Amino acid sequence: MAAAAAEATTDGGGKMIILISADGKRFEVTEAVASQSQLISNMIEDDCTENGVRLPNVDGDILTMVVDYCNMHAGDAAAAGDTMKASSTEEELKKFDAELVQALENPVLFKLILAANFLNIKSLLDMTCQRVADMMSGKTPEQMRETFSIENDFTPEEEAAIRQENAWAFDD
Amino acid sequence: MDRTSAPPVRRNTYVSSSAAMNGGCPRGKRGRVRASPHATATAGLDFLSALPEGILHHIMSFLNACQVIQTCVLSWRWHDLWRSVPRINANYGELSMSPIAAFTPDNEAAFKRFVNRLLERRDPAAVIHTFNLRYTISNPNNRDNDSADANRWISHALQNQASFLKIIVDAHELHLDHTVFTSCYLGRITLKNVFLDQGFFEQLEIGCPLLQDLLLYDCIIGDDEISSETLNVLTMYGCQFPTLQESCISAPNLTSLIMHQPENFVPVLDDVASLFWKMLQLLLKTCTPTTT
Repeated sequence: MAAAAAEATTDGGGKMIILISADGKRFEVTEAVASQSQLISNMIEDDCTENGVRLPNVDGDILTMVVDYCNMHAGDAAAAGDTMKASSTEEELKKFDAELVQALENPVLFKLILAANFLNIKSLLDMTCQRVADMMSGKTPEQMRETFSIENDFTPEEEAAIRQENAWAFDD
Repeated sequence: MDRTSAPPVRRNTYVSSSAAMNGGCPRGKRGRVRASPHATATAGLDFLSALPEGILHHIMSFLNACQVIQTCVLSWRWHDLWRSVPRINANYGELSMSPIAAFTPDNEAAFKRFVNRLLERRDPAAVIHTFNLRYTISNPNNRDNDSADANRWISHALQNQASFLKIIVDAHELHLDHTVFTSCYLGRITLKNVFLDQGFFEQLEIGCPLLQDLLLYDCIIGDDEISSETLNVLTMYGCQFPTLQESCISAPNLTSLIMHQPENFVPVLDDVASLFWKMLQLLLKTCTPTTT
């Protein structure tokens, strides 16, 4: 149902846009799919998408994931007014999002965050940032450093002083 | 929550942490810690710290206040980030490792000190976009003092341009001071187990011109008239009115009204029913509404 609606050429959603990644890969998507990016949505409004949209700081493999995400969520946005239709795909969407986000590992996760931030796709940014927060949650600072390879650039004296100053926020 | 790998890591890092505190860790010039072989073996690069400050703040917005502050000790990059995170999630149950059931008056006092310090030591110019507080008032004799603290925190958040305010109270109800509600940023309020004295709704109408969503759970409401030009969503779930009275709801821009199990409540929907409602769910179990 959602796909049929997206293909309809009567208004908005039917027009195609070309997205070009940093490494020259081209992705053809509908305006409805691309508009989930606030950046591209503004470009569509300003009529500057005709020759394709170059995204010089998004790699092809990351853009593939972004386009997959937007394709999956396009029906979502289009059916926002139709609660019946939206709820029928809600489960699928949740599953898709959960699988996508669970599969993300360190470098790719952060590249995807940067892409979601640059393209201004709020739901994707929230989801990926939440994933990082979940990876931090319940961990001590030492465990966080280890998980994310954060280099401790304090001297022992500095670290001790900072811990002392903020002792009220540390257990024990 | 990714806590599955936590215990084995905890043991290793506990040792290195105490070693670091005693200055026993191998360090290079200027006291820099050499990246441990373990760290370089994984992806090696610190992609997290390389993110722009705005994104790091966004990530930290999903953590509870205690963990947010603890990031100050990760590295210089993180040292001051916590002071300007735009969302505060302060939950008394997450302050100590003990479960909520074992919460003692000492813990309660510690939580109050914690929130006071947190607000004092944040960057005073930083916006608090969202203030989420989970609070408990276990001793009714302390209700006035406990309420006064919470009211001060709420006032602080509103003065720092809070758009979203969520106050969840366990045990005895919080007495909200409605005079703090003057804000041209506040868009959404969620309250649970809070006493709203007479004048609350009038204050919102005068003092909060952008307020769109008001969600009240298990609240005691002193007003008999709820009037708002700005509200889109009004939810009252299990709310109580002190005496049986006809209560008038007048909110022309309402698109959603949910009332569930109100006590002592006979609603008169004025200036509401004639307007377009996307959704109306009136779940009145104790009485039926009359519409004028």
